[in-house]
Amino acid sequence: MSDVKEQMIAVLKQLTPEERKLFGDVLRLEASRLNEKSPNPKEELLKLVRQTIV
Amino acid sequence: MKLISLELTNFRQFYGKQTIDFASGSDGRNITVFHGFNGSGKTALLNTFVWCLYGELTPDLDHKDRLVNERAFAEAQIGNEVPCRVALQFEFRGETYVAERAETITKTGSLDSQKSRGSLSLLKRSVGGETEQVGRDEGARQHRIEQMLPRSLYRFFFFNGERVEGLASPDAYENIEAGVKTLLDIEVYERGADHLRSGVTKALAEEAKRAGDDRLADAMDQLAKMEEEKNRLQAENHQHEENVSALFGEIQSAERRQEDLRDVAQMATRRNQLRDEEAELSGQLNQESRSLASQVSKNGYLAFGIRALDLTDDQVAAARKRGDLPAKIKPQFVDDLLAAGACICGRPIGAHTPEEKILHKYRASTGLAELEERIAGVSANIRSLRERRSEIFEACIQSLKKMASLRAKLRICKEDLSAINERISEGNFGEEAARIQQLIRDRGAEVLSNKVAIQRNIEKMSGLETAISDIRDRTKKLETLSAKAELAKRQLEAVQRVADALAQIRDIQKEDVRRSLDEKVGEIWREAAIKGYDASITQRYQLLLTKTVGGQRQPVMGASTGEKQVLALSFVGAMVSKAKENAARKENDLDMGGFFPLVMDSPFGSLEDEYRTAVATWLPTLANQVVVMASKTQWRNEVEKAMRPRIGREYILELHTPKKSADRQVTLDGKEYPYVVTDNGEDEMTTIRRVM
Repeated sequence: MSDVKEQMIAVLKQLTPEERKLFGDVLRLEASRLNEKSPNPKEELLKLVRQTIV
Repeated sequence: MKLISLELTNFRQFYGKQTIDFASGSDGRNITVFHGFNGSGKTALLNTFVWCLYGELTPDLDHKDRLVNERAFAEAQIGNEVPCRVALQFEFRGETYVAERAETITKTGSLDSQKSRGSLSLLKRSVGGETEQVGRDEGARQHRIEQMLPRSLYRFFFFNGERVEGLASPDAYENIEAGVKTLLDIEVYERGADHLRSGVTKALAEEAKRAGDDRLADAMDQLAKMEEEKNRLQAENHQHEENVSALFGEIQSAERRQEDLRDVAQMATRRNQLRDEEAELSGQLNQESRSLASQVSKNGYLAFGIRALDLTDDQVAAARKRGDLPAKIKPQFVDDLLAAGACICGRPIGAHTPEEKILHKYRASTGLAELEERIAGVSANIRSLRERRSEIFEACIQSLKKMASLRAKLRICKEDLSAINERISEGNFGEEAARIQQLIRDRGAEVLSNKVAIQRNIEKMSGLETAISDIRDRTKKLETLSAKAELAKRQLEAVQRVADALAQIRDIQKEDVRRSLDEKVGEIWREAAIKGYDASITQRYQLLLTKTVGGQRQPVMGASTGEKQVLALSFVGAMVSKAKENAARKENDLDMGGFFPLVMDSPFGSLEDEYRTAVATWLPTLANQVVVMASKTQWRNEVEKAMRPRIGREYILELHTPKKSADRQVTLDGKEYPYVVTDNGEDEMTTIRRVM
């Protein structure tokens, strides 16, 4: 398990702080829409991108 | 998913409204057991879960079109409606839900009826006790249920133990990978990466276009199209892999059919023997080839070092001939005289005196003595190297001879196999045998064509990946024309990098889940298995039994039904245990994994005693909740002994029958209870009686 965590941390370390924030936000948004069969959260994702990468 | 209660109304054998509470497991007692005579509704009870959650029935349930209880139907007046309903209350990730599926049957004649369309309701209960309907329509409710426990996986959680071995067949694994991804929370990463790479990238390309930067917009547009094409190829390959799996399943089942044909059975058995032999010989050949390669890589220098050994020998012989060897004086002797400042006769040797100069001259010439010591060592080594060289040459020759003999045997084995297949297809053993052989041949050709298509797509995807990487590099270097375009470019780069990170983490998690399931299956299997086979999970989430032949793992052909059942149960146990582990570790504040029950009809049916004890012991420790339906013979000593301490709820499916003198008792934990009861009614029905 610690090996998996280390691998995940290594991936996240390649991102800038803004990109890491975007990563977390995207994940939370997708998790909240998991119950939908074919979600298309394009607008929400774009909003997140615009808010984070300025 | 933690089961709380089940309410049945007129479902199959269960007359009227009946309620069951499940053992919660909070006090370490996580087993709910139902004891029932044949025909008392054990399989029907298993089907209440499957029907309620998925609207399906298991293949072993008879008369699937007649779900309503016969006594309730008989008692209804013509024109009246008879409800048939199952409501399952459960908890999922801290929320309480009630799933209810119902159909109403209108009695149109003494035996005729009209069925209404079934309905599904899914209520979520808040802590305050208020309830709300989940989803706008039935489709949304069904999807919500399948997000909690994917349809493709329910066969692993609600199953008939006597038929569970089917789960270990290749064709049972269609969509399993997708189901495991949902169950173990990998889907969220996949969706994130896909949505960012398609919709969001396209939208950013539009923005760049609006900002008047056509080159940037063009690059982004190409990127989005290539990502879409890559996704399409991936999906296509997934389909090809499923085809290969299904085709292998067809080939195996066709070969089993051949084994049942009287005239071909002997040849089919011989074919299996030859295949085992082929696997054994291939394993031995691989092992021999690996051992030769390791020998050559470790000692190969000796083949080319003989010239250096000869030269060293010649030089030493020449030095001896010249009289340089052996040396006349030892360096240590001179060093001692110099250190003592005295001759061996006791005369002092002062600094800078002619005597001391002579000693220093001797010291300079003693280098040869050191050389001599080394040469003595090297000469011994040269002798041993020469011996080793001959031994290794001999070993390599033997190894090559063995490989040649193995290859010859393998060739004969392959020729025999091919001859058997030829003979069966010639038609001398009947049309059926030849027809099946043709089918096997056709499916084999289809497997090959699917594999070729997979390889082609892999090459295309690799080309696309290079092209995508080039475009991304070019986009980075593009000089943007405006601040707006510059922002769109930065946003695109961030989106691509975040999508890549999501995909990488998905792959890490996916491999972690597979490896972890593989380890757990192996571990559980080793505890229960009698034979020295190994159980594993392939990259495609297929269960595999292997044996070690000639140092190599080979699939086991013809595992017994019991072995396959234990293998399937190992996988079930591994999966619930992994989901439990995931629930314990929460990542990114997201709800991960969860608790899943195991509902098993006759789980110990055709298992040997050793397997029964093992399964009864480890299944309740792996799953949070276990629901077992068993007959008196299935609930034998070893099972009762292993499970009794963990029983939290115990019920009898009390069968009421109009047949006279059919009464039977069952003894549970030392007490007697009615098991089959003679009744005055015209139809059989079952009452669920709680005894614990």
